[in-house]
Amino acid sequence: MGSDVRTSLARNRMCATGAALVAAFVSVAIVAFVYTPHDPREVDLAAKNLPPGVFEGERYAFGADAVGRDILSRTMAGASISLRVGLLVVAGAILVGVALGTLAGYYGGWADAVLMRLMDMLLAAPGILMAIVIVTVLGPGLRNAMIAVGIVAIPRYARVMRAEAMRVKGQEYVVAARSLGAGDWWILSRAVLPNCLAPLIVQATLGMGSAILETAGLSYLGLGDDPSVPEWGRMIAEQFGYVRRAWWTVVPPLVSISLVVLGFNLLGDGLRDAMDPRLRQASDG
Amino acid sequence: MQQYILGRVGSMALSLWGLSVLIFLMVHLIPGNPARAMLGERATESAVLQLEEQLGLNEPLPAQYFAFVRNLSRLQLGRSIKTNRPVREEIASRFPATLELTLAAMAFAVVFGLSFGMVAATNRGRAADMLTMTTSLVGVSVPIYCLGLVLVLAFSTAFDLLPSGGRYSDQYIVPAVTGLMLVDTLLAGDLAAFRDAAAHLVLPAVTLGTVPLAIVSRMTRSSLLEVLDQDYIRTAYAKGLATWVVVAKHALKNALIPVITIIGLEFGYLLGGAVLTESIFSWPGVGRWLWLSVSARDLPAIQGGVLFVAALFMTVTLVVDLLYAVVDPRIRAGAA
Repeated sequence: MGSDVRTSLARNRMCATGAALVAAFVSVAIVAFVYTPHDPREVDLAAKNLPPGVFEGERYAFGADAVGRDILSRTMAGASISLRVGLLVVAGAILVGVALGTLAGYYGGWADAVLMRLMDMLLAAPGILMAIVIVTVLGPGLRNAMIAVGIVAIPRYARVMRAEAMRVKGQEYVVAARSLGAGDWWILSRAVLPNCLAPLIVQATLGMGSAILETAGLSYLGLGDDPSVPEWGRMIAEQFGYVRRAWWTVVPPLVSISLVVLGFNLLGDGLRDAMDPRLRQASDG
Repeated sequence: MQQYILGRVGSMALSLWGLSVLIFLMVHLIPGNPARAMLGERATESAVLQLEEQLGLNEPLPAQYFAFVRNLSRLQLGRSIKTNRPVREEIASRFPATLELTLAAMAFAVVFGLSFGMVAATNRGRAADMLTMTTSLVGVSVPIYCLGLVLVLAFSTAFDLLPSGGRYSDQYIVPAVTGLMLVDTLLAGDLAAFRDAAAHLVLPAVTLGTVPLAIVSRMTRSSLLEVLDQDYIRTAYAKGLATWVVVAKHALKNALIPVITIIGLEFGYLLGGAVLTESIFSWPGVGRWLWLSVSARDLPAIQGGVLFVAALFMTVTLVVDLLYAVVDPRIRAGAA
């Protein structure tokens, strides 16, 4: 019993840590929309690979990269980009995934069979590989990288939604609504969807982390925007060659992306425990 | 059971066929003329036309698809545009490197993942539990290229303990028998070469194995916790058995079933998913080759490579599911 309490307290602490990391990330991202110490794209070749400190009267708190751009400003601006990436990718994937999952789970039959085979196909090859092929088709660029990561993420939401829709459609309140003459649309939007939200929110939180991670991975491979855009994955890739001489230039984006993804993972785990007591038992024993 | 196997194989074949259509269409939607892209901007129009003819790119799309499927049915994947070698050979020559890396990564993940999970489950709620679980959560959160970079910086740049890329040093030449360097060097009886190959394997394997390690340790923990709650475990404790005996002999056996499934899935996933790791460490495997083929717009190579990886992944998944059904009679009963 004592250890149960301790576990749940510690889990709360982990969830709170996750929430704090996510909150810090969102605040930095919002601040960076209006203010960064330097222009994140401003090149100053004299300040090339500068260690943290003051240079020509200007403060470079995290140093400067290989073409003398301020790393603190770029890391901050990178937060805005990653936040936007995460939100757009997850929103897009949820929209499509929920629609497909509802169709499959609520109506069943051949729609279910066809849609789920389609999802199996997307899951058949490793996600990063599928995403690479999709970006190659669409052409490089951050927007296309986001579309690719979003497409690969669809099955995750479709599967959750399908399972939930199948569970909910047999419930008494749905049967009652139908017997009172409610149409499919009313039932889906008023009865099914609201009762499927909890697992979707958990998936979305965990999905934010993977969306940011995977998009940065594509960007790292050079499939994102051009180098002037301060995207974290790209920043790391660009400084890769200088890492022996100027290791401090990769630390800020590297630590930022790891902490942000960790934050979403901790928060997602915590939400899962809080929202669904059945899952708490499964994950806690 | 037979019906279950047939059903699974059928649905796998269907998915694979669907994927072949999907990949075929995607690859043919890649903008730009592939023949032009290969020959460069300064090639003459007639040279481009000739290459188009040679590749069958001037045929209508359905005809190209049928040619593709006809080749596929004979297990031919076409020729790589870049090297003009059969794609099948290109894959075959690189697959041992990928297999060796994957095996090493999984060995690392399983040994440490199981240990972490067991330590966490038996010390539930205490510092050891928190420490191992936080470590594994950090493991899934750090981007793989960041981890690779940090490892190279620490073990190769700063202390010069391990090589930072490649499979072996040039001075060692051993005859290729299995294609796995660790085995081949031993067969050749060259211990120095074996040590060299092993040293090259360490950093990529740790990098690639970290995510599966985290997943295996979390799975082991939750599965063990569930089992440790059972009556027969209490009975074992009541008999006066030591904790490690109860965990190792009584609990682990039942807790391992879901863990083994996860291990199998991760194994299948890593076999094709090592694009980033292989790129970081210049590992001459299938993942890096696929990535280079994508950069070069080598259509037959991308097509064949992705299909190969998908077929491999699906086969491993299928085998894992069937094994699961063999181990767990409830699934067999449910399917029959």
